[in-house]
Amino acid sequence: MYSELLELCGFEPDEIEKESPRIDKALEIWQITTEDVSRAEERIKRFFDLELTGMRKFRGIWLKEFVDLTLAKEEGKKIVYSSFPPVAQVTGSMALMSEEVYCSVPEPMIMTVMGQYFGKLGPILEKAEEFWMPPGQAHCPFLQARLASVLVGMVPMPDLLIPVGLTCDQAGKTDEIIEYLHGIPVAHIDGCSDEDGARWPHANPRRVQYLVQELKNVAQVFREVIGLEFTEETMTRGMAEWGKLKSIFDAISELRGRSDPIPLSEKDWENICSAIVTCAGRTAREGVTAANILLEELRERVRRGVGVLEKGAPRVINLFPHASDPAVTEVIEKAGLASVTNFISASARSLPDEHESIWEQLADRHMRGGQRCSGQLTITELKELCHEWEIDGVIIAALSKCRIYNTFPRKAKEVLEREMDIPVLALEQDSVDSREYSAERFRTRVEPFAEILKDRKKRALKG
Amino acid sequence: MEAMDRLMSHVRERPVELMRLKQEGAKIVGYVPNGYMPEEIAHASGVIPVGLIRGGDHEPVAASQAYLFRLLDTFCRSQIGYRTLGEEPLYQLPDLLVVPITDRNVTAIAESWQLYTDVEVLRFGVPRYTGAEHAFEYYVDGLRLLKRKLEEITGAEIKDERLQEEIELSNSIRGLLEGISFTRASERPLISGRDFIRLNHATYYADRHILVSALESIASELKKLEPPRRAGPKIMLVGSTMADGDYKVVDILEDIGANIVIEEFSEGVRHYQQKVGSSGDPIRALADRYLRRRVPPAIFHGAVRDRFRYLLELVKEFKVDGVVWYSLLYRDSYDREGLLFHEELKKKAGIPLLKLTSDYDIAETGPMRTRIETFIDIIRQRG
Repeated sequence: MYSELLELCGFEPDEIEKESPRIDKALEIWQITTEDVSRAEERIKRFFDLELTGMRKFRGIWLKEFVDLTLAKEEGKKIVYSSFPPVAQVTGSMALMSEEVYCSVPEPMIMTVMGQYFGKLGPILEKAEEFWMPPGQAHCPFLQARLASVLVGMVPMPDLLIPVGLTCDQAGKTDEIIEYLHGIPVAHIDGCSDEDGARWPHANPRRVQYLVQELKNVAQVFREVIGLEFTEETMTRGMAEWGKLKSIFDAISELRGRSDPIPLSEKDWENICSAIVTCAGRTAREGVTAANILLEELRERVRRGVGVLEKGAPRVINLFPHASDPAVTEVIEKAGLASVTNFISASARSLPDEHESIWEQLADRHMRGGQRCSGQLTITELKELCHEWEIDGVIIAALSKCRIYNTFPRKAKEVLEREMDIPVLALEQDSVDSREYSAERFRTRVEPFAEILKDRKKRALKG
Repeated sequence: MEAMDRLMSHVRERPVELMRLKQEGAKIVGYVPNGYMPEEIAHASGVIPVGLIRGGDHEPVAASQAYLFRLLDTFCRSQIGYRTLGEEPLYQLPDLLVVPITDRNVTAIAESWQLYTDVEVLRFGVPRYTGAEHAFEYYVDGLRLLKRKLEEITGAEIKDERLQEEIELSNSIRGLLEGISFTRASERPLISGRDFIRLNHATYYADRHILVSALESIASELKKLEPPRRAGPKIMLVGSTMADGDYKVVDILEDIGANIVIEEFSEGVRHYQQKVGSSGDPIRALADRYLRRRVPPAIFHGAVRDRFRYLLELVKEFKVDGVVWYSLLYRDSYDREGLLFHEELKKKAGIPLLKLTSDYDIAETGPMRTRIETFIDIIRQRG
């Protein structure tokens, strides 16, 4: 039923044979039909790169992650779910520490596999609307997917929930519904959004220390609930593994964003960015090989001058790439714009560590970055990104249901246009829930914007 | 009630008085009224704290669209509108805006003022825990930052003795409010919910000495009043924000004969049941009261458990016949909690709940009236 799908996802013949029984079970739980599989094959062929083995492998990792997630309870694991965006190093370390433990972030897996590949996210969100997250109140679709998939039983009931409140203040509330209904323990990783920016790009030490305590608290609850020690050593090992993947990711990011023509579509790049942020067990174990293959393939493309857009395409930042529907990003690329980077590449995140303890290093890293600090510093960071990546235009057009995306866009537009002469398209749009946007409507806004950027670029070249 | 009229007259004139005081050199500190800004510290420093609690108007919400995207809580969005429209005197006065950050919606108030006004903004984080020690210490640290900031503005140190005096005065205001509010627990309430809410709102910017005298007089006048012959259904009003001016639901309920006997809001309605302790370091005593001992807002960890327990106690104590859950549009945590509480209430108290949502839009009034009238009819029919 799905051998072509698996080939499109880079499965080797022996893997297909080995994984088929598990995939059967998982797809049945998600009520995936033959029609859904055909749709997935069509969507993958339409949206994603079929030539790059590295990308096929990454799609395979997503599919395997999805199956692992769905069958974790049945396969006897103790289950821990963090929320999106997680503290990836913690998620990764927990995922790698023992065969007995399954740790991941369900939302991006559902977005990627059920949304991007199968085009079947809507029914899941509708389920959430029956479970205390009704329509019309701008509830986050990531959290709707999280809640519904757990309560309906598509993903197994966890043993421990670790909602992360560093950017999202609603994950904890969503998990408390599961706690309230099913008594599942919740260990929050939280922060306070009161950065004064005095040490920018570093975070205020009191915020860092607060997060350190939160992380230590999670380690303690993890020990109590899961019965395994989550120590500095566990973290060090996990971070080392995550670091290997991150360093290749950084190399791909640099190569992709600096090359003209751009060698990899943002539709594919999103799959990698999301994997590095989520970092569950499969990604940590198989991601390095896939990423290395991809890096080599992209180097080859650059050597040959091959790209997915024309050379000289205007360089833009698409602030929040699609999560569930590549059709949105397709609009940007079809309009001739090369989306070269986003906040995930912000330099503040790669500053050298100032701390000796692993907890402090981690806390410091996760408290950096504009979105973890304030609207003002988000704009500062955006300006730095524009400068660093020689940006021609900025598109802010996604996930306005996330409250942080409601405060800074208008000011960012004003500041970037006035101070840097960089046009900004700032749209109030949620491009995750496909029932509430249309890529075609988006096209009507992006195309004129793209023409403006192309015209400016042409005139600048003529001098 | 004569004292009530006197206080309302003072409140009407207060913005002009504050403008005059500012011209004469007084420093005015605005703050978001979510119950995490201990005004005692501001009073002790010599500045005049003013709670920015206006709401219910459509124009500031519409004006906010120039600065913010729409998917934020209505009250939080409207706050930048009140400032930039320039029509609301209280919003033109602050030399400093203090924003205790509880969630992303409240953060939007801080950010919009930071990005679009020349008013200095001090934001200090309120950890979403009431129990953990590191959370308590973080909040204590935030209060010390606030204290230093106020000392910087006035150029004078805030002495503990002065702070203690202000704590005592605030406690007496809380005690008076509690006494007045709890008269509503009687079979036939002596004061309407509308009057109590207006009284509560007055505490955010009235002169404190005038306020205390008025509250004392009101408390004593209430003792002499004859209870009304009949009382309507007893309603508990719960939600995210009950702003000064947002009286649509209150008016409809009481105009059709219901009695609002108790209210629980995270913003706009001052909590008065818990007093600040008088021993030890006053900053820690304030933190203990403000962070640990008040009922947490919906966004806090474990709030579902703690708030439900508290709300069910109120239902029992005030012999509530029905609950009106009034939350503002896009305040996600209250939307969810309202639906969950509906289930809880059915199970544990067997009384109905009506959930209403507002975007401060005048067109809401008609449908809201129909729904409230039907709800009250249902309660009456249940006997």
